[in-house]
Amino acid sequence: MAKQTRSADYPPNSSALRFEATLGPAPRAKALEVASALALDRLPDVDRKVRLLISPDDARKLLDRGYEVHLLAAYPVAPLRASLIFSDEAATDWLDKQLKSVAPKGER
Amino acid sequence: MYRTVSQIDSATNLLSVLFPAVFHRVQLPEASVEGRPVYALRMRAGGGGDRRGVLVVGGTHARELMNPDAIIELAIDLLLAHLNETGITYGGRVWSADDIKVIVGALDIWLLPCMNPDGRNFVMTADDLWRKNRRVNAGTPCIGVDPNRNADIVWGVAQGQTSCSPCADTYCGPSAFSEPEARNVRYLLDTARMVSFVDVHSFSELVLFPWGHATTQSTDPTQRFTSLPTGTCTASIPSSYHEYMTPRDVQRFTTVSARIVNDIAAVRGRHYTAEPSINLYPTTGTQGDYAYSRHIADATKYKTYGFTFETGPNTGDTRESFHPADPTLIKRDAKAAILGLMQQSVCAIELINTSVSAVSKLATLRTARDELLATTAAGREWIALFERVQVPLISAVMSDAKLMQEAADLIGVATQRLASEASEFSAADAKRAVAVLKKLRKMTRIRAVQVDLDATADRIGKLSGKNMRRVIESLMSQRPGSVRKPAKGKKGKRPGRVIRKEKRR
Repeated sequence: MAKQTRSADYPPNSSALRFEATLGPAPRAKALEVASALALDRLPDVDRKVRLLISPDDARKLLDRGYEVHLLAAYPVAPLRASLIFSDEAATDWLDKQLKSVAPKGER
Repeated sequence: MYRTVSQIDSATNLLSVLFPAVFHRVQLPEASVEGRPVYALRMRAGGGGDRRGVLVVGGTHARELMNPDAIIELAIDLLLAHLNETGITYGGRVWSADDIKVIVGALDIWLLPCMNPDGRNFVMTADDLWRKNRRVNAGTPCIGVDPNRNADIVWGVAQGQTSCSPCADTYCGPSAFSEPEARNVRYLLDTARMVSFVDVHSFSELVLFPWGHATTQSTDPTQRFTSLPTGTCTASIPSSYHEYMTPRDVQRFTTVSARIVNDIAAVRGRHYTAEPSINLYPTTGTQGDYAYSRHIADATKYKTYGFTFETGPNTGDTRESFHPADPTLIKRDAKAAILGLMQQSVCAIELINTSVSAVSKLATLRTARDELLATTAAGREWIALFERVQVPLISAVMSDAKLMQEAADLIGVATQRLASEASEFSAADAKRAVAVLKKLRKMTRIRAVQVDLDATADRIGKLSGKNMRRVIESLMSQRPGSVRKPAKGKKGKRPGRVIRKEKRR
């Protein structure tokens, strides 16, 4: 099994990107082989496509090996959107609201 | 919305402080790589010692944010249903109050909602597609070990989605169980009698079961992972290699998974696929495979059926697939799947046996199941029949003290008779068993269950007066509902279905 390391700037800094990508025109078996050989982050795909989440450096390596890299989306490396994270107050309120419905004679 | 690590820890703390009779929080022996404490929550109602355990793990991969929240919310749903004596409804799937009573009354439910707290924190503060833990990999500029490639099952064989490269997202680590987060899971498996394990991941809408390193076969027991060269990051698995699994366990994994798929579909119609995990991609060192492999690698370990769920669909947008803006419906599907697994982890015989004063030794029954019935296709069908009727009937039995005692007495009779092959399954024994089956039949309106009970009563009626060896042989050779072909030359009704006695292995 070939061992491959990413470049020294991986994981990328805050201005870096990841790409969601597929390989073409490689057949599935070949795409699987290269994904495994380069230890690429493979995304689950129920259609059995070889879908990858790769750094710009990974994309360059794939291009150097002669693959067409189909970029499907670009994701800047960034923290989870703050709007998706409970505030401490909201988390506490949610829990309090749930537990208020415990029957008064509940087992405690 | 997603909870931070500290909010998850606060929730488990609050539950254990407010409801000590139900929840017991355990700080696991190992802090995370960055020094965060890791907590598990044990849930149970009532007393009793040696319970069957179910271990539910979430947050193994940092970016799969939904599942730790789903596990916390499931704990609260179970608590409220238990205390208020109500059922749980997820969309179109309903668990009755009696169902919940059985689940929390029979099992030790172990919840490890956030197995990889450093990773979750990093996702929320730096990189929302981060997968691994936060191990600094010495000698490299790269961070992180994949906690779901670090377990001691074919560890160090880099194939498919397992890598020995420290910079890869699927890096298996420098050695098996090098990571404290993975060791915590092993600790829980070591310290409680876990009959089921599930590692809840995202995404793809899958219910996965072993194996991940090779395809499964049930004909050659010599092909076992214990003989594979592992641990070097240079070995590979030959393409001709197929991992052995007993037919009984193949059946158990496929039937349990199918019922979980049905549970999820009943919620809102999402169709999950049940399959061996290698179908997703080849892996080694995963937690689900490790949980199941333990009893094979070490015969002193209890058998744990290990599953991996992949919750939520591929939306076409990676970020949205890993952590959708509104995960409510996916979390509901996930909770239904976990609850379905819990329900199927209850053993009616064990529960009935421990609920009455005169406790029988069940080892004899387990031996008959695993070493005799499980070795033939017909015998396995009887096991499957029992497993599918116990789920809808157990809560009804538990609520009827008289029936419960009768069932317990029957278990006692069965263990006594099985202790000696020469002992007779008497007409009186058969009559008692059939009477219990008839009572059970009246308790259900599910046609399929009635058919199963009728088939069982019919067979039991025909076994009276035979010694136990003949009884077992009959069950091993004749499927439920089948009729033995009459001897040549004898007159009689033509049987509806004829089976051939199978060769015993």
